[in-house]
Parts: sequence; structure tokens; C-alpha cells
Amino acid sequence: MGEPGINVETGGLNKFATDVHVDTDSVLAPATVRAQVQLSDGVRFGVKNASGAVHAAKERYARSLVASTENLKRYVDAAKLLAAAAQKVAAEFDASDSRAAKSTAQAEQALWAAAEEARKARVAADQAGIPATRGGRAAAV
Amino acid sequence: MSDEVLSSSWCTAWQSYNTPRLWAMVADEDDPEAWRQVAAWGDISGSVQDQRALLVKAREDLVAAWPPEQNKSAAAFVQELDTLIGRMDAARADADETATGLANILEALRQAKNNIQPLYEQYKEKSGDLVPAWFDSAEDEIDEQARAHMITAEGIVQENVARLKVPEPYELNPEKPHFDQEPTRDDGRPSGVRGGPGATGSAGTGAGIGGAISVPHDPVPPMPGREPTIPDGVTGGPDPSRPGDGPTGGGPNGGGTGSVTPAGPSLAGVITPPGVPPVETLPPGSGPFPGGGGGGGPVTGGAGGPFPPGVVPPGQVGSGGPGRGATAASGGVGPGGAGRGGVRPVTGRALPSGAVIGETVAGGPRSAMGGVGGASGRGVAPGRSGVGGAGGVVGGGAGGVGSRAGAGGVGNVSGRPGAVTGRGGVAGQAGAARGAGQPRPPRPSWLPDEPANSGRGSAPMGASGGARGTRRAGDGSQPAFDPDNPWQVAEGVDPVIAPSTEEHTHDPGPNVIGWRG
Repeated sequence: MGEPGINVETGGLNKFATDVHVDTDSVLAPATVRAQVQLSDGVRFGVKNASGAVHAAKERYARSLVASTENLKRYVDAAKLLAAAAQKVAAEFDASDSRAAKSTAQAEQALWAAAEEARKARVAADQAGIPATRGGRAAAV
Repeated sequence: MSDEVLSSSWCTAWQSYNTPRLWAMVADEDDPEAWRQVAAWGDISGSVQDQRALLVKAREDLVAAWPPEQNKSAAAFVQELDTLIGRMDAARADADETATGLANILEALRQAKNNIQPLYEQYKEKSGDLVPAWFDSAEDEIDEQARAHMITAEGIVQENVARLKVPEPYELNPEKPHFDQEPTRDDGRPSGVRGGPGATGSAGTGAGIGGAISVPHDPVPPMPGREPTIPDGVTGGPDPSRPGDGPTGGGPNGGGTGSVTPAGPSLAGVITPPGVPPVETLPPGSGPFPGGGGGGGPVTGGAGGPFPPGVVPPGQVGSGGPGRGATAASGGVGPGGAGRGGVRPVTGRALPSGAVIGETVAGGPRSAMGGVGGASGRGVAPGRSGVGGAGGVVGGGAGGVGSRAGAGGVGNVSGRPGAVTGRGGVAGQAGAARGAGQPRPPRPSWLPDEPANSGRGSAPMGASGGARGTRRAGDGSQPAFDPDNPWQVAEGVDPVIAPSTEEHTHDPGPNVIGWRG
């Protein structure tokens, strides 16, 4: 425990990973799904209103809907990614017989590696056209 | 977000809208689905707050197991975790704020609806009574009240636009450890570069509710000849997404989509429904016709206009549609010199209140075209301008036809060439006949639903116009009342009362001078 860089309780990392996974799956992930359903109707006011303020409100609310629900998904993804990274760090340390500095190098990359892995997965999903099936709509009327 | 919040897309010219139009704007408000969205934002806020609390608790355990002050990798990890916790805290506040802003906007529109609804009912009653609008200005007062409610609602909406939060995109994008060789991303950029908001463009773009969400915008059009916005408003422009909402004036060859700014008295009460194709040409019969009663000059083209007979100057045709176009054509000056030429918006009979007799209640075109008939009548019949004016009244909703009849020469319509032409009654008759015999044109989408048992629907686009047309000119099966020929009957009708065929003898008795017995 004395040398900086290798002081870690892998059990704590695993607990963190498990807790965050469970919490996210039980709280934020379903809330995100609910929000997407409840807000999927989009802008529901001022359709026939000629007011410039109402129009500005509709435009801004539409942007708010898109940005907010998108961020909700990203929060879920980020929480899970951090949990996965913590789990990976723990695995790296557990796999190492000694807590030498060289073994921490891989551990230090765990977060970045997990993020990169997730990013590639998203790119692949986007290229497969998955976003188009997730509620994409026509442009503004 | 740090960007400036545009609280209004333009400055609305509320004077361009009357009560029926304002009611049409808010009639569909107070949508339960919209209020459910307010609750959904509250749900989001609560869920994010719960998730954040759990993350904070997990972070404490993590820091205890993997102290960031002793591990660089732990510090980087915890930094990302703190960023996420901070963003979730902001997301909770944003969701609360958005819910409040949305609720305030919905409530403002709901209040406007509740306040304008009784005004709309009053407006209908006032428009249907026997007192013309120009006499008591009742409709104008109601309009002002309705506008005040809309302006109030607009102010509240404007105040709450900024409360609708648009968060910047979040992305967990940890820096790559410095000791590793710099690989490149799929897009060729160094992967270690922490992009700004949305810089990578890879995380979830186009996902969520949708890459683009539709903004429903189908505003009620302003009254004919009016602009929907104040030119020097915030953005200074009408909505470009709306057909017919182009720049002011169509220009000489501007076609029928540009709105026309009348140079003369405005026709505040006239409503021309949208979607009516602009009339640029009149029927063949409305071209030059034989002079009857001195009005034999070309009807079309207005006063010396350069346009060929039967063609309405395009610049005169605006979004208002056929009303003005037909008027422009029908108001031609005959050689007799008695006709009133020009375009109706200029020479039309705008009453002191801005309304025109015969305007309907339901926001529909009160003689938007009917008035045209009147003008044409005047133009054709020398010295009978007063009669011609009645055409607009009688024609009412179906006045478009009436106006054409007037333009084409009423004598031709009645089968009496050379007879008194330009009679408004005849023009109105033609309008009524068209209203009764032809299919009703589609109701404008922005108009509120019509009562099922309303008798006003008998004539297209309007009610009282059609009703008055019927009262004055019958159901279209009989000629209009002609004061110069009060006993006129239609041709081909068997008389109900006929002279007796018996020969009567008359015996005044004896001693009658001259009686030869």
C-alpha cells in the first residue's frame, strides 16, 4: 500500500462496478426509456399560434427535448462505462502477481480503453443505421 | 447553454388578427399530452437526482478503495466520475427548470384559450345580430379584448422561453494515458484529444428522441391585406415556412402568393380564407361585353390598366385570393364613366369600423368576395352605384361568384341584355345560386369546428353572407327583386292566376248615356 500508483483494494473497485451497474439499470436507464416514451410526442403546444414568442418557445423546446433525452442516454452509458472500467482495473490488478508499477500501466489505461471500446461500439451502431430506428423524425415542418 | 436565448422569432402584428382567428390559434391548446410532458420532466428530474445520489455514494466507496491522491489513474477515473456527477446535477436542475417553463407556457396558452372562448361566442352573436358592425363597433371591441389576452399570453411565453433548457451534449471522453503510443481514431484524429461538446460527433448523434424533432407550425393567417408580423420586429420577417407569407406585395408580376398591402382604406373585417387559389383570370364571359346602359366598357383591367381583358393584374392578387383579384377586374371603368375603377382594397367600401357588411362570424370570409360583387356592380352600372354596392352585401360568402357575375354583365346573366346592369341583387343572386348548387369548398384548417346544426353553412365561406344572400335573392331559383319591374316572373312558369275565359255581360240598366243596350 505504500507505493503511489499501486495502492488499490480491488474488492472496492468491484463493489463500485457492481453498485453502479445495478443502480443505473434500476434507476436511470428505465427513467430514460420512460422519458423517451413520454416526450416522444414532441412539441404539443402553439401549433396554430402566430406569435413569435410561441414559435421561439416551440423551437427551443424541440431542441431541449432532443438534447436532454440524448444526454440522459449518455449518462447511462457513461455510468456503465465507468463501472466497466473499474471492473477492468480490478481485473488487471488481480491478474498481476505483484503490484509493480509496470502492471499498473495497463490498469491506468483501463478507463481510456473502456471509453474507446464503447466509442467504437457506438460508431459501429451508427454505421449500421441504428439511430434511424430510434425515433428519428422528419425535419421541422 | 451559454448562447443567447431568442425569446421571440418575430414581432407579431396582433392587429392583423380578429377574434375568430385568435380563437383558432388557441382553440386546441390545453392538450393533456402536453401536460403529461410536464410530469415527464419532473420524473426525469427525480430519476437523475436519485442516480446522482447513488453515484456519490459509490464514489465514496471507490475513493476509499482506490485513493486518487495516491494513484494517477484513480485521479483520472474520479475526475471523470465527478464530471458525470456534476452534469447529472445540472441535468436535474435543467429538467426542473424546463418543467416549470413548459408548465408556465402551457398555462398561459390555456388562460388565453379560456379568456378568448367567451369573446368568440360574443363575437358570433354580435356578428349575427341585426346591428351592423360599422354601427356599434361591437366586433372591434371584442377584437381588442381578445388581442389583449393574446398579448398577455405572449408575454408570459416570452418570459419562459429561456427556462426551456437546452443542455450541451455530454460525452465521457477520458484522456488517453500519456505513456502509450498515440493511436488514431477512426476518423483520423488523435484519440487523446478531448473534444469539445459534440466534437467527436460519434456518441449518440441522431439518437434520443430523434436527430431532429418536428416543430409543428401552422399558424392562422392574418386578415387579408394585413401582415402577420411587424416589419421591424425581432427578426423582421414573416415566417418563411408559410406559403403565402412572402414579402409584402406581390409586385406587378408577383403572382398570387405575396400578400398585398392595400394602398387605400383597409378592410379590417374582411377575412379571406387561405387556400383559395388566386384568381388571375376571369371567365370568358367576364371580358368585354356589349354596352348596356352605358356601362359597356371593358370590365376587366381596372382603370386603364395595361392588362388584357379578362386578366387581373397580378400585382393586385395577393394572398387574399380571388376577392381582390376579381374586384380588380370587375371594377373597370366603363366608357360611361359612372363606374368606379380600381382595386377593391383601394376603393372598397371599408366601413368606419373597418368591417364590411356581409362579413361572416366564424372568421370566415365575410364577403371577402361578396364585396367584390358589389364593386363590380358599381363599375358596370352607371349612376347606380348604390345598387351595385348591395351586391357585396347580398353576395355574402358566395360573393366570389357574385363578383364574377357583376363583372360579366348582369344583363347577360338575367337574359336581359341592355337592361339595368350591375345590380347587386343579381350579383348576389349569382352568388347564392353558386352557394346552393355547388359543392362547398374545403373549410380552412385554421377555422374552429362549425356547429353541426348551424344554418350558416349553407353558403361557402360564410354564413351570414349566405343567409343574407338567401333572404334577399331567394334561393337562387328566382330572379332578384327588381324595383323597376316588380311583377316580373320567371319565364316558363305557369301563372297561378289567369283571366277568366267566360264572357261577361255588363248591363248598367236603362238611361245610361251612351249605352246602346
